[in-house]
Amino acid sequence: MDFSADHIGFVAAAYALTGAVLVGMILAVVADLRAQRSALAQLEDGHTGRRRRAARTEEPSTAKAEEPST
Amino acid sequence: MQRYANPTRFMALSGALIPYAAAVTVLLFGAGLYLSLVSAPADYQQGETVRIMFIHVPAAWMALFVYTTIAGASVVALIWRHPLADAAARSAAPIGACFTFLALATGSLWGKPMWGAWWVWDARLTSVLVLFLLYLGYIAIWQTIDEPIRAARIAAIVALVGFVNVPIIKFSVEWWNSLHQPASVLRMDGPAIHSSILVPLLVMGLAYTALFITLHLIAMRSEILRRRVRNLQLARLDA
Repeated sequence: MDFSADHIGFVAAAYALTGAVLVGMILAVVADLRAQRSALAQLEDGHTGRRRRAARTEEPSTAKAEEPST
Repeated sequence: MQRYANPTRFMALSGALIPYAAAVTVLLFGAGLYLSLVSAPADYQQGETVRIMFIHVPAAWMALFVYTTIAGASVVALIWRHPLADAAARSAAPIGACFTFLALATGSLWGKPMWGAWWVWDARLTSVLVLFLLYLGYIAIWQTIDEPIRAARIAAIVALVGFVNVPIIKFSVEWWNSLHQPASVLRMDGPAIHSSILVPLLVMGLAYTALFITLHLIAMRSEILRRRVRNLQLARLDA
């Protein structure tokens, strides 16, 4: 490639623009995947946390109810 | 095919495929850039400016290929209501819009030194600009309609109506007087380009295709997760 050729600035600009757009597109796609993963993990943590808390509060009352009366 | 179109199976399969697709993409871009910037000779008429063609032409190919993928997925979504078809169509659109933008912008950067103008209202350029607007409209439909089933149906219909533009782009150089040259790679009597230019062009075309496959798989995974997030949020609101 001859860097002193006519119109080389147009070639450089085209490659720089393509590189910027492609890298930007890759970063955006990967960032979206990470965002969805983290949103899902938070929701699932909240969901399992609620179930655990609900199970914990239910346990003593169930045990009391099942205790045979003497 | 139906077996792998299950979202859970797709997540497992795509998770295994993405690293290989990414590796192939990097290798093809490495080879393509070497061939385009180092190995290929300057053209006897265009000089060094011919190197813009190695990134412009594959971007234009991908603009059409991705839109055809969206139209194909839209047909599957409308007829068979397959859960992955909508996800495939929606996740391909931003990638296709980027390729179309690159085709227009790099074409403009080539046109200024070669034609003396950044833009002309030529049939090929105008129809590709319409394609870019179709991509933006398609993305806007998904962004503005909250209800996913309704958004999917409207987006699919718009994608199929817009598909009429694809053959117009392809044959615009034959149907109307155009500054663009007629087809020179996909021809009945073989390519009209010398192998020193054709090989870098084809390798870059493969690199762009591999990049699209890799990004599309990742974007489809995001879309499936987005739907799970939405379902969990709705379930939480109902509870």
